[in-house]
Amino acid sequence: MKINVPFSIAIAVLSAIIALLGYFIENSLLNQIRSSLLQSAIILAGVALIIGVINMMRVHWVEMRGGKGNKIYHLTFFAGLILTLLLGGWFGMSNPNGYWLYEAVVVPVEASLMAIMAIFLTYLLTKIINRRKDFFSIVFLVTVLVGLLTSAPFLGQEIPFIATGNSIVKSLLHLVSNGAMRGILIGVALGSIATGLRVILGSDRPYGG
Amino acid sequence: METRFCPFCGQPNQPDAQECEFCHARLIPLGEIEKGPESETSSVVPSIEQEPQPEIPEWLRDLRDLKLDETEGEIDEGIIEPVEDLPEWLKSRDDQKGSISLESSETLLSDSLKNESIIGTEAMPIESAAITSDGHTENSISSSSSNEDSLPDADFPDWLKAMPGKEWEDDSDKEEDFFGGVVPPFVDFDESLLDIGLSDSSIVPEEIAGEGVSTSTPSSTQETGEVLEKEIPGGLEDLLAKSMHLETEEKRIEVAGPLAGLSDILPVEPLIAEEKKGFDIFSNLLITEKQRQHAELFEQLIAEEGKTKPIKSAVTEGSSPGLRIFIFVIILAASIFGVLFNPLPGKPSEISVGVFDAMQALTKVSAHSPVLLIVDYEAGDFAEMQTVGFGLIDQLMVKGAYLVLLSTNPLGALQGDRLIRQINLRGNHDYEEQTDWVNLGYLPGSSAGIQQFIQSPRITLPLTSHNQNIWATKEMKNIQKIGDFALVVVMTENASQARTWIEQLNGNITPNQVVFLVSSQIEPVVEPYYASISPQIGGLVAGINGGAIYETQAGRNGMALLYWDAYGLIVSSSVFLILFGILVNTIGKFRQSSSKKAEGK
Amino acid sequence: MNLSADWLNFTMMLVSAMLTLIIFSYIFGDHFLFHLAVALFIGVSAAIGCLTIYHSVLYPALIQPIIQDPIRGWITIAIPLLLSCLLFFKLSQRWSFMGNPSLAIMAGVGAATVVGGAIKGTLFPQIGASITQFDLQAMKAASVNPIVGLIEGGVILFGTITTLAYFHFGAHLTSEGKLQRTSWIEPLSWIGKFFIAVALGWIFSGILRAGYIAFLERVRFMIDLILDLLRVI
Repeated sequence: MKINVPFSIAIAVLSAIIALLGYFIENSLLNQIRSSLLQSAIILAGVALIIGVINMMRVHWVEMRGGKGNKIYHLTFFAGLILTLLLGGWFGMSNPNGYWLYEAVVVPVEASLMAIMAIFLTYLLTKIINRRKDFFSIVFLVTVLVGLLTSAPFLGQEIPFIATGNSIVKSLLHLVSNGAMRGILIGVALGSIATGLRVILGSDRPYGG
Repeated sequence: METRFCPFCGQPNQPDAQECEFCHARLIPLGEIEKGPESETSSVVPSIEQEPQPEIPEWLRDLRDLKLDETEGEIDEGIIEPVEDLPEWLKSRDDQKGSISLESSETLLSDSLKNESIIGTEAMPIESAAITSDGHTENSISSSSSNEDSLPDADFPDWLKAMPGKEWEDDSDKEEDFFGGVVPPFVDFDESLLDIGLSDSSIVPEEIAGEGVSTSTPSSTQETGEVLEKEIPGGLEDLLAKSMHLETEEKRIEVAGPLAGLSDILPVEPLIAEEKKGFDIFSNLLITEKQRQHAELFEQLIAEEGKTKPIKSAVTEGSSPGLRIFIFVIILAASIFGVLFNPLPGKPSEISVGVFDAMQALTKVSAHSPVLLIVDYEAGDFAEMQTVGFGLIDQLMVKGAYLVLLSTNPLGALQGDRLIRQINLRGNHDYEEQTDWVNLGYLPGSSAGIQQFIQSPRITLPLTSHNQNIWATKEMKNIQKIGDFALVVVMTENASQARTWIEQLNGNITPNQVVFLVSSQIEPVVEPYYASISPQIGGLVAGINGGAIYETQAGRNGMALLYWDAYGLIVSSSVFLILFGILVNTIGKFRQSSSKKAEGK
Repeated sequence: MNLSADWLNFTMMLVSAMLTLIIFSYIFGDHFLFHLAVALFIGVSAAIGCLTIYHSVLYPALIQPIIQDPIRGWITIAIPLLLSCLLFFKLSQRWSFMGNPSLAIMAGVGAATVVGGAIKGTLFPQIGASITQFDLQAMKAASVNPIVGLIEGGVILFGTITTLAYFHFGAHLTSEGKLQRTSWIEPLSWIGKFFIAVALGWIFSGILRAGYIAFLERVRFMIDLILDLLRVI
């Protein structure tokens, strides 16, 4: 809808300017308006998450009815969702009966995924030299190994200059890494500012302008 | 290549773009699109000039030199003129063959004539039409010769061959008028209209039919074609040949606007609109040569960006499930061995400045002091975060601090509950929810949510996750903004989340009041904020070794030290495995290449 | 009404152990049960997310004010409620545009906080930190050896500059028509690449360490469960 586009842009630009000014100007009226805007954004972010879940349910439902994918996966998804909603809604999420599914499902699945990811990454590290035979791959690999060795004693023994107390290798690693990360952080900040300004100036319209 | 400016919104577009990327209007007039990308958007004149010169009679050459303003006028001026206004050659034909000659010219100019006949003689401006008329003019002519079979061959009648073109020169003005008038370029033509019968006096306006136009003209286009075959002037042959080519592409497909994809429809934008030429001043005069080069470079970069580059055939290493499973088994064995037998007992001997600072920050916390504990990590990282945070949270519990939990992760609220329960159990504390700790729950909105909470926590989260108002309790009554908390502890494994918290907290709280407990995976990201002469955070505990150092320094045997031995064993075995794996892979590769060489020999 | 705590605990541990084994078995290859476990995980996580939002956001912000004081409550929540309702139109393709104003507020405010935070929280402080690394007086105040401080500051500053140089994509056309970086950027960028490789290597080792602890925790959990079961049997 054409009429809606400039209206949305105006809202976005105005709310962005008010929210941004709050960082640099102290004014009670401005702060009040800014606070209302931020509060609205919080509520809307929460509602957006619920809408996301509803949309996910819809997609699963449509795919299940359309025979797309394995039906049992969709059914499992709905079973988990409904059961959690019922238990959590009835008992409350802080009640042991409520967070039962969280402890039984979410924690083991996520932790196990993280655990096997470590195995896969270790396996991939063994291939890195054969995949890319260059100086930087070797630097990367050596840093990973040093990073591992500095984090714990090697077979119970502290390796001189590496894993002993505040070793020189560890200090150097921190120093070099700090320099690089500071550069990356400045770059990220500049990128965030550029992207944010595009929204503030209305040239980027992620809200569907 | 020049930038193509949109005729409607005036925005610059790629030179080869057919549609404006800003307003989606057609950039090349319809006829131009049909001709192909080489054709430039201009009037008919230059395109005709490309035709072989020797075959063009003088009168037509003059016609090609038409200026746009010469065609200015009202459309009704261009309608078939009464016989007295007809050009000499037509007049002479009229004299010789009666109505037939007019019929032929009438057919030749059929589309505009017929459309005008049907639509009426409504006055329409020609000026702008002429500008975009290239395709359209041709189109109109093409319509006139819709019957392709009847197109003339090269054998023209003798009278026409003998006729010197120079004789027409005197009447060139009239011819220009004539052509400018009868070929209105903006009126689209429906082929079916041909079947209506052009000679029908009911359709042909009276002023045309009445004066010198015989109503006995052949009604069918076939007949007209026959007439054309005999009577067409040589110069028009090229035009007709061109129109014939267009005829075959009559079914044009709309490329822009809401009707995109449909064929045989009126164009979205008015073709009569004047095409705006880009302001040359911007592209030529106001930029230096260097700037132009940069612009070209930029254009080239953008063009390169869009091109699909052939993917180099990567040297794909075959998956080695054996090695993968071997690594899994060894690490599993090391874990089981480490957990069951505790073979490498020990404690970290190093001293960490970050841990020391974190411990210092805790000295300001007294019993019942409100401490904000932000639990921002996923369940997958619970194990590590527990080892990182146990020492500090345990010490807070020992001090009797009032813990206020908060998370910007939807599952974080439950993580917080779980963390406190686990530390309560392991540290032998008796911390009760509501009296000793509360959970404010989930704070959505990322940076916006964090900023709002920092400024006014009471408004942002008025109730706990149990829907209770804790802001009136004795511990919380003085909290108006985040700086009023005795300490803020951020636990996270997410680099972006850590950065957001540091950025938003900056200037709203003294750095000494903020301690970060982070996963080892984001330690390098957070460290620049801490490791400087003027740090933005007051303390940093990272990874299991940070947690183990804390516990060692605090004299507590917590989760980090519980895992420490087994962890050391796993890390040691993983270093071995990585080196072993590299060796195996290198040998495998070497063998593979040597066997290939042997095969080659 | 509470279900038996022991029974709950037992089933919870059993389900948890089963899921752990299913996920671990992915090491041997992809299989049906793995996908089933992940589907269940997504369903449960989504539901927990909804419940958390209800308790943390919707109830306190949109329901509780009305319960407390219906008249003032409605006035307070009118705008957020309207914007929230409009957001639901995003579920419909046809009426999606109705949700644009709500999203516009979120995007605008979000962008502003990101920009404000990046300027005040990262850009200025990090540039400032790079400068103060050479402040001898500040070093004295922080009890840092000036020589060590200067060397450290120099290395960090050099790393920062070379890293930024690596991300400098300015180039010019050579006489052969090839794109080439400025001559002095090239070596700096190479050094920057070295710094970045070290930083990423360290991050990678951190991810490995976090993964190993997660592995250890799961193994520990399984061992505890088996030992508990053996005790019961």
